[in-house]
Amino acid sequence: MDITSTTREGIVFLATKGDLDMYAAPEFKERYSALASRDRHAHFILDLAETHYVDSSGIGAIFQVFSDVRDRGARFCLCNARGMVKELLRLSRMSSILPIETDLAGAENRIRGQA
Amino acid sequence: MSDEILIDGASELFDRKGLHLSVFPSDYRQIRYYTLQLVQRSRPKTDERLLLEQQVSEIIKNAVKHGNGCDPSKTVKVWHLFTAESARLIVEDEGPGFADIEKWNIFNRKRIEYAERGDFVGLMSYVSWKTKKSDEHDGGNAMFAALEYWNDGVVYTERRNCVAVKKTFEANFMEAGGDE
Amino acid sequence: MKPQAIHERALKAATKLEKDIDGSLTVSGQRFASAAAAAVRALFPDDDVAAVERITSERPSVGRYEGDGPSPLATDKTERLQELLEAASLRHERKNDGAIVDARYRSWLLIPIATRKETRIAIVVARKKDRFGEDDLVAANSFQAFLSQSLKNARSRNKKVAKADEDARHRTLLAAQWTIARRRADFQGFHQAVDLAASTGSDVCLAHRSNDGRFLMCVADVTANDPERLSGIVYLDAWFSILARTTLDANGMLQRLNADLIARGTECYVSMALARYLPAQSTVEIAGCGNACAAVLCHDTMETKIVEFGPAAGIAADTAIESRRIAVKPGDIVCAFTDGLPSTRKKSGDLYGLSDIGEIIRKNCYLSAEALAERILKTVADSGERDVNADDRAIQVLKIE
Repeated sequence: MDITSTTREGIVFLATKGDLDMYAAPEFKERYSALASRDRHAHFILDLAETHYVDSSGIGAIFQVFSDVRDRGARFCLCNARGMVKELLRLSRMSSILPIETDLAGAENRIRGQA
Repeated sequence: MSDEILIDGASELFDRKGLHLSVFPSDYRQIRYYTLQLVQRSRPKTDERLLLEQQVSEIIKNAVKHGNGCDPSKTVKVWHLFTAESARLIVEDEGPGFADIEKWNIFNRKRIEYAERGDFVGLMSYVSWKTKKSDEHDGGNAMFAALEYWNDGVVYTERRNCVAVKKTFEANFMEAGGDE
Repeated sequence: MKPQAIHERALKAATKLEKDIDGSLTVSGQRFASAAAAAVRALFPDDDVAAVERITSERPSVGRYEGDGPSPLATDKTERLQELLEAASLRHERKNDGAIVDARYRSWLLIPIATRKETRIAIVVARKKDRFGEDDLVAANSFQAFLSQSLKNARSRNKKVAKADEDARHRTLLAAQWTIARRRADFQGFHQAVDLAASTGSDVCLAHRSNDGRFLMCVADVTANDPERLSGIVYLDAWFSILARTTLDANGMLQRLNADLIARGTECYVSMALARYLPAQSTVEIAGCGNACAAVLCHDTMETKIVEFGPAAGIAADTAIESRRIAVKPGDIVCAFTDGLPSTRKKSGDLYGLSDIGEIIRKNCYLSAEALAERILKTVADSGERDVNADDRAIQVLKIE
């Protein structure tokens, strides 16, 4: 799995490409930790447009990131969850807890709108 | 669909007649490979098959990791039959069994209550089921989704080291012609 | 409205529907619902029309389609729209309470399109100025029957096309597999045999004799879904053809395979047993990955050693490739086979197993390579239970001469 990140006006845009599964989840969390340690107040948007497969470890990793961002007093939003990713978020009821928007613009509006 | 994990070794879901059998060593690295071997000929590659693959891999992972401790000398036996209409799976490991099924069911019931009440703050405490055996990379949410997905049941034997699941797929209405 | 006029409008509407959905091989539910709404609009050109579709039966999900013209629907709520899908027959609301259809319409008509005793699509026709008359109801009734039949025809066609599509893809895969299987490498003491009756399209046998007398053979089992399996088989054929002409040893070849599969990034894994015979050194290099196996019979001791391998290729970049170099003498036998053989289910319910394969080799080691390969396949097939664990079986036998 590839992870790219860019930062713009206080928001870190994280994008994953490939499967966010039991093998990729540790790397994903490490990458987040490294980014979060650079700026404790940064908000985070996770874009799953290029991720078509996720498992319970991936969902757990996403939730951990969300919790940590929240604990730091910042905001988190997920976007572009489609297909089986969207369905698994629903089955695990994570879609009731995680802030989710349909697209990147929606996610950015949500975070900036709440700021 | 049941809203809890059942314990019933006599369940018809454990009937192995007509099911294929595969035996895998408990190699954590190869879980997705084992899973693909099982499901590759089931349904066309769509989001539905990806979800089936993911659900099967979770059960295999439980057996490999929590049942057999990722010990490659221990095997996981998988009886399986995947058709366009349904998916059946029986997975047996050599471990001590899922001891806390009853506690898990209580936890899950509480989780669902919070969700149905719309109490998402309360729900936050019930997103993950972790035990002493869990590690930091266990999501702790696999079984919640499994109970929703396997709509014909999730059943363990009394020894609790063998689980049987079944899913009946909803036919794609627009491709199910000729049955009026 | 005169019967003639009703008839003409109905014909025009029916023609419009057929034109809209006939253009493509398959029709989605959404496409049909939209086309049905447009056709009803042609039947009632002065009224406003919308369609709702039951998307799944498992959990409430309803789609709505308005297309051209204003929508008469007053609600987006799934629970309210589902009421429209409860109707089995035509429904005429002479008074409109504004709950489902907007209050600006005086009356509305519901045309359910049912199949398998379930209404999947419902068309709402709403009229502003007055109520629907008897002629309108007759026209709607006849058109409803036509719509239901059209939906039935569309579903039947979709089913045939989907099946034909899947069959064609699988046949292409099997054709590619057979093309490779039919190739023969001419080498003294070598024979390969395949049993592809299971039609899984997963196993390939490859062999190459170099000009300097070296001989390379491998069996492989590709794990991937159909389209990627075809691409995997084609890739392996090319990979083998190129690497067989290099001086890489067996281990190096497998490492290259693993690296290439990881780099490809598709969900495609390969189990392989590869043997490289160096007659000048009386040595065989054996390397492999995944659940393919090799067996070596030492003619002096009459012992068969089974060689098993590590993870399949394509799983991890750092996978260690299992390999060994074995000194061989005339009479020794090297076999490579895919897991279709040991995972054959016996009538007792147990799997055939590697030690049983080893025993067949030992007991029949006096046979020629060709006869031995065929004997192994036949023995396993005869004692296996049909219909379960059906998988391709591939075996290569090299009898050192």
